[in-house]
Amino acid sequence: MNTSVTIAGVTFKNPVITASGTFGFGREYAEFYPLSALGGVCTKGLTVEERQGNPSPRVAETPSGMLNSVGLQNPGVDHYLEHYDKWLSEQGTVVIANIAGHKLEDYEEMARRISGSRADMVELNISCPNVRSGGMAFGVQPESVRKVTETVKRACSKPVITKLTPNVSCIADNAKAAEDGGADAISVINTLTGMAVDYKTRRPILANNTGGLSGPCVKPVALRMVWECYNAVKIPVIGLGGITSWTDVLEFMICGARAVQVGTATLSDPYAAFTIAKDLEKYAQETDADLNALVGTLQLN
Amino acid sequence: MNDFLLTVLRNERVADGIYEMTLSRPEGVQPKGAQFLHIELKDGGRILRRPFCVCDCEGEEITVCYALVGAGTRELASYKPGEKLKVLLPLGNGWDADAFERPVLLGGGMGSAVLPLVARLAKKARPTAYLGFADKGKAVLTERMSALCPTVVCTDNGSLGRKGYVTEILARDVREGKVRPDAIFCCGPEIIYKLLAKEPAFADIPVFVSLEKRMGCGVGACLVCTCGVRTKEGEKNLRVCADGSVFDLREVIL
Repeated sequence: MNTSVTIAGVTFKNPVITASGTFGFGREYAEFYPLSALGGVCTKGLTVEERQGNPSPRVAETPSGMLNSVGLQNPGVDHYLEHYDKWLSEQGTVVIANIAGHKLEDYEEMARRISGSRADMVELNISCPNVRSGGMAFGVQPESVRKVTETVKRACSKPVITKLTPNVSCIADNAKAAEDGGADAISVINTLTGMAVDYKTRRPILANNTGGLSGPCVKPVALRMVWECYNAVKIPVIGLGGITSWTDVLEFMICGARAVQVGTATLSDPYAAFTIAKDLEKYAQETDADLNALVGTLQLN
Repeated sequence: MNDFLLTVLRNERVADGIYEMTLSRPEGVQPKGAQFLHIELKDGGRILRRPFCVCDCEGEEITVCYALVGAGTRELASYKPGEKLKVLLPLGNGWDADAFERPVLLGGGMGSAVLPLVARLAKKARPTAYLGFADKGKAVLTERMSALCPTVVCTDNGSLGRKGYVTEILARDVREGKVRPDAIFCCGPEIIYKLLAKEPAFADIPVFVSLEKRMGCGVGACLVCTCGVRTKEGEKNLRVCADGSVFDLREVIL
């Protein structure tokens, strides 16, 4: 049996990675379980300067899901490097630094700064729907996906994962654009832009009006997009969107995901990623399976 | 802090649209005053846990007091004794009445639910409680609080206790020297914080408020429950769950 997967030369002991923005920098959850049980940890999105994010309310529950509009609140890359970089690197799990920015130069600067960190990989956040400039603005047009990926690749010594937004007409085109830009992998999908409305006040519940939809309700969209991307590119696909169980992970892998990220499930259950990783290991043991053999084995009807 | 499987011992309507739920207390867990817990609902379609302050904790029981405000709390009200719930606790930093000598514990409506444990854990301090409700039909925890410390009950319409808004009644008592609080700890709707902030009678008294926001993880990771706070390094969005839930009123941006 084998649960380990390799992406761009980086080996994860299992395919379960925590999704950016749902796991902080790992410290909160290290109080619940050893992070070494996870394949990897993806950090909260980092920017050159500290960001205070959007006004609250920033969250609204929706059927089998939630909307968030945090707006990339983070302490800035310097604070991360000083307070979390070393600690995270000592947790016995792959560390992926998620980076974001307003403009192309920000991404370039972030790529340079993270190059000097202990992170194993970089995830390029060009798909955050909650910031006015940057974020998703970079992720919609294929040409800009290519350009920002290329810029980061040039400035960064670490393997680069480009995280794609689902808020596009053809995600395969954007996957190809990331590959053309030199991405070592893509992660699919970020949140779907949505709105929750209070009929009494006739106002959106989120202070930012719109937010990113996540949770089990987005899983069918995510599976479809992972499959489309898997068929469009040669680089590995990391699947995410509504994963709450080990069987969800198998579904994503069958659709072409080499690894997965667990996000919103952690908000419901602090042990979610840990439990999923353990359950997957149990499944692999009991069936003597190599999880890699599942990747992309979907048979269409 | 950990995730526990707790048993519902009682779950009863105690006032108009308000319920008290008693849960089994996990061994060795002693929540501080004003800490909170995070309850997972059984309906998997409601993916976010629901945060509630620990109202009281004594012997083998933890008490939560909640108002029916939406589908989630209506589901909570349907739980029967014997059912098991996943509950994350204790969360937040809490507030220690013993840091002061004569604190006033001020509760506005459902905010009163934070006060019993705060009063119970006061060993040196001699707190006085002021509880304000819109109407006697909405009054909760008055007996529980009266058993723990001197308690003044007020209703806006005078249907129970003293008539008037609780902040105004407290301000009058402070001006007349009937109480001499060296701190005010308050939980209630945001309007009560605004009234406290502008009341001259409280200008020289430290005021601490327990905030409530729509919450995600409850442990400080997801950053959805933030509130604006004036810190030494300027205005920051701090996490109500992990940096609070109690803040200095004068630092909170209302």
